[in-house]
Amino acid sequence: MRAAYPDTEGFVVRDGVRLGYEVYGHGEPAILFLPTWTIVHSRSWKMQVPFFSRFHRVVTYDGPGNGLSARVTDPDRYSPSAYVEDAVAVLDACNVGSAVVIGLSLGAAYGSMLAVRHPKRVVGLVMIGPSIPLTPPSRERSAIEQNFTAPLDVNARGWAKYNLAYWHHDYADFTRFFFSQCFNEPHSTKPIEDSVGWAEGAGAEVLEAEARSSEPAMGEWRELLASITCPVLVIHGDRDMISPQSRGVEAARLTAGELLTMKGSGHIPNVRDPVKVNLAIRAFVEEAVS
Amino acid sequence: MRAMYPDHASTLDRDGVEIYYELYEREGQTIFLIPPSPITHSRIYKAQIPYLARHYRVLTFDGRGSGRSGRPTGVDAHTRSENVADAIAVLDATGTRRAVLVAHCHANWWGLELAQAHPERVVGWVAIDPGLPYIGTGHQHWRDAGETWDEVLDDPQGWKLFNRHVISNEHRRWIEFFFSSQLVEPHSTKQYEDAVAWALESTGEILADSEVAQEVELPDRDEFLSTVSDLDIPVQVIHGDRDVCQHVSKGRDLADLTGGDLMEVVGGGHLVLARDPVRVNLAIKRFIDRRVVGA
Repeated sequence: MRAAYPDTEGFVVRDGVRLGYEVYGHGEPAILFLPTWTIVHSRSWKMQVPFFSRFHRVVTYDGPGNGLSARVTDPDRYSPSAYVEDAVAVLDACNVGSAVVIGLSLGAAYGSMLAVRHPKRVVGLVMIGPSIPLTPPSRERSAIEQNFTAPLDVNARGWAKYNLAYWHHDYADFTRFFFSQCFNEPHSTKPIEDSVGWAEGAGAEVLEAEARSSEPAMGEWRELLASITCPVLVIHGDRDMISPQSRGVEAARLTAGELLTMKGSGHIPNVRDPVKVNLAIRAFVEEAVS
Repeated sequence: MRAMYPDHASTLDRDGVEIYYELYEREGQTIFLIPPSPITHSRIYKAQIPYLARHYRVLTFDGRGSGRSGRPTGVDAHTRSENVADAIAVLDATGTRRAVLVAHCHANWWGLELAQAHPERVVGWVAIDPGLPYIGTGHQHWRDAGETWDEVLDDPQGWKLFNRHVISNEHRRWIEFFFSSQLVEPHSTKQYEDAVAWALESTGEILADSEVAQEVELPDRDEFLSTVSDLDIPVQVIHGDRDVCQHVSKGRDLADLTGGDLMEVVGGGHLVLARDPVRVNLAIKRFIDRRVVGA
């Protein structure tokens, strides 16, 4: 059972890869919810879609590797550039000329690149917990870089589980750890359970392919964000354990955007504090975009 | 922080015991929320008050021994008649002539006695997970535990924690067991944390006394059942079918006896009002708007 069901569902095939999309409601401007790290799929917007589809045409789709989209294992399909072209293909398939684009975590990186490369398609950009390397990662997470391809340690603890061999060894355990870090607010058992379930749709092979994709370096992202011309809202939890809050601050500064700091929130405030996030986005759409 | 704050919050003195009450002002029908004290207090209705107060005048209070009310000790201080007299004093103090009663668990017994003593003041009764004697089938675990209530047990576990000495001396242990047993729904960590914290605002001695007091002046079975079926007010029963405090048969039989409506929440436990508030709230509003005359 869902609070809202799509009015139309469909698939678009871009360059041989099938992507599943859903369209809800009516009203301008349209809102496009982007995929994020493919460990989850479009259901991670479940707290946004029923609300925004009351006022807007809402488009969601699954990125490659999860949900209704193809389980591609070609790393090139997971580069930010590929996500940008996927998003354009979905907008075209849904006859959406331009939209407010909302991205969570990695999805904020895709949205930024979309806004720069296809400025006419993006009338406003919302970045939630942007996972864009604008500032260094936390000490715990910086170890990932060195550990990622290290040999398997079946007793790995904490961020040491962010390791390719461990993903293949015990993917479910990794996802439980990861989402416990995403949802560090008390009383998060439901979002953790949901997300771990959605993660089953991807799997270690898909995440490996995504991890092997190329992405722009820090300096390039700074330049890219600075060239965004549409209105921007950045929402960032001050207890984000995945992407430090400093990245949200920097993203807002570089884009001359608004910054909403969510006190006590972790990485995914749109799930854990949906009312506050939804109302902030609605105000942004009404005041800055319309 | 609360979703809504009362327009008036005050205490009254009834025979030396302070009773704290809250009033959410609005024109029209008054809803009187009676909490099953002293294991909890008015905050058990936190998911009802902000909704109901948008439509009705809402009145609630902390029962003696709990919340911001006094902490009288001894069995005699916690009898039904004392609790009913407190409820009436709250109606009087707020100038409330008539109200729809909403009660949870054993507070329904107080609501029932209030309606019997003052039929002119009660225009409807919403019985949530009702705890009433002689109606339905009680859970066996209560009967088993009742048999060893006064004994000093060697290493009691599970429902045997329902014991005068355990509750008095290991209050938290009993409370944590009780609410972890009641919250059968997944993802109940917040409701559990709330319920335990509210319960621990009282003391084990008071809770144990109040349990004994429930058995004081037990009515005659046939007389009790006939007074329930003679009730001349609309009744709405709401009961979780997985309630392990008050067996769902109590709710079903109460609805039968009173000719009331029954909403059985499939998969719902004893704290259905906290765990499924939207359904409960809509059922209360629907009942009042359709069944309560003059609402």
